[in-house]
Amino acid sequence: MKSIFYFSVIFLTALGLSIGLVQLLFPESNWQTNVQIAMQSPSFAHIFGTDSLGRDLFLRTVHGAQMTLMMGCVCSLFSFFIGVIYGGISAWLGKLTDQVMMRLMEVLMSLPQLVTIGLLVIFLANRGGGVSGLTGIFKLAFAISLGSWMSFARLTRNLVLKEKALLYVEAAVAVGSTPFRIFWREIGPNLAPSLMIMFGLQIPNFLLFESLLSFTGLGIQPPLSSWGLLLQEGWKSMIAYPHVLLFPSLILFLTVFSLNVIFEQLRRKVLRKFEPIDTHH
Amino acid sequence: MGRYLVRRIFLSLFSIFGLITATFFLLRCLPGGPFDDEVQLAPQVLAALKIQYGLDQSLLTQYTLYLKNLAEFNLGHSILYSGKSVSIVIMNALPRSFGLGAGALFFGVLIGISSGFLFFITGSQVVMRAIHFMFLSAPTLFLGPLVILVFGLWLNWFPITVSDRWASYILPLMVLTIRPAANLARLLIGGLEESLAQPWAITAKAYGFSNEKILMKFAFKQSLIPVLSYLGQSVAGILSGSLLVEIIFNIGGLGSQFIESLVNRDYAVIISLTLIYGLILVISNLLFDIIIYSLDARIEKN
Repeated sequence: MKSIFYFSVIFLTALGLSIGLVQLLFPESNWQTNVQIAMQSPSFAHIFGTDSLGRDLFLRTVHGAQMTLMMGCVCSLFSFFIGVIYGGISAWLGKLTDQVMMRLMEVLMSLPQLVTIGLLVIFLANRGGGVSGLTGIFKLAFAISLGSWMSFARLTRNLVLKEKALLYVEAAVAVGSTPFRIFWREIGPNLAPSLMIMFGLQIPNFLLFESLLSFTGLGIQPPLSSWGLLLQEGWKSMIAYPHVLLFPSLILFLTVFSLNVIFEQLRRKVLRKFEPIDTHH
Repeated sequence: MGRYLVRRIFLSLFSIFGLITATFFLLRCLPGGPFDDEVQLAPQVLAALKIQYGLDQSLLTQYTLYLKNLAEFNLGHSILYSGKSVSIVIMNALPRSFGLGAGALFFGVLIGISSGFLFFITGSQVVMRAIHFMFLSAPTLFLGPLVILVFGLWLNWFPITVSDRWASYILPLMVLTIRPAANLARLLIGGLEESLAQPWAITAKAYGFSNEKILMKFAFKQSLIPVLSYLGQSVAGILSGSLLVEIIFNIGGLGSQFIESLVNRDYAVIISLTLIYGLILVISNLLFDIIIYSLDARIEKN
């Protein structure tokens, strides 16, 4: 397990470094199209081969990583905020409010996530494929987050309910702290580790959602580039030129894998300290 | 049991009703209708079309009419397929998704439970964890093409698109089975480890039960609880199939139908598909909650 963990760390570091280097040394505006070397298989000159316009596939993959990784983090951040606020309010007010808020959430959860996100993308992005430009990306991220904040809300609610019953919270209420202060200064620090790890564990899901939506044409639109778009392009020529699909999807796979391994390891290491009773993991 | 059941069923009904209402209003409030695309229609034609599909009435009238029709299982007509009834569109797609999903569920449980048990007995949990991470993280967009290339094109064992032949279902089944199988195996191992670490296991050992008996008779039954609650959450997803698998293997199932009607604003089909997805999820959640409840006496009974 240790070697897998190190592999993941090294892979993600390498990916991050390549993103930075490609951005510095080979900015997109400098890319040459050369149809004579289109669809070449991997070689030393082009380690991932070339695409239908003769561009280097490695550069394109690393470039697409920017958008996909950014979407992953932004979506996770959005759903984090929505979920934590919703779950926190629900647990803090309790009673009828809690009941109503939870039932409403269950209505949202009675649909597969993809169906909810699909409906929201259409609703927010107006016409079928209207996600372009910065506001388009923002809308897409918002649609994805609106369809997936529920796991954050559930976790926050459970954690806050547990903390609320403890004496230090009662003491804070007794000395007249405002709910905001109690959340920020008293309860918040105790929830932080669990929420942070949840935040990390959700990122891979969002990477997959982005690629899926872009692959089906509902997500990021062409002049921009992302892994989902690369995969869509590769899918069209997969039978004749498998490398155009296989390399980007392999990188997507390894990224998701590494993130899962790292945050799962963190969860096992960090949360054990906070839950000393639960020793068998 | 009775009160819990009634409460649970009532909540499920509430979810379904909420879903119907939310989807209906969400879609009707959208800017842009199904007829203002591409060709500009004459105002008279547009008005006639709107009357034909009932789009000229007020939202509330449309809503009550919709509820009434729904109660009579009349799902309305598709706009995309020029007036074909929605139930026909759905009945075409449903069996394909469900057939594949049921297969994936069956093989997923079979392979997952047996391999989990095997890994646990042979004591190679670490290997299992690595495999689990790999399969869990493998995107369908990687696995699907890989399986097509390796088994379909290079080895030429199975056909790569779904047709009437049974062999054509093997590749999509393979892709659909991997994730539930890996998850189930992992959960079973976790459950077994956890239950064997509890005091009752030591007590049972002290009473002289053999290791096999403790494992098979007591620990196995307990470790089924996380397995079942995972199944409860994901059975709907497995059954209704995967959108990507349907696209990759060219299966005209629920998922690809859903995307198509989303892009074309085919209101009636979108709503009906959403409802079907919701129904599958709510019903399977309900069933599994009841199963878990009757299995585990320790769940708080309020």
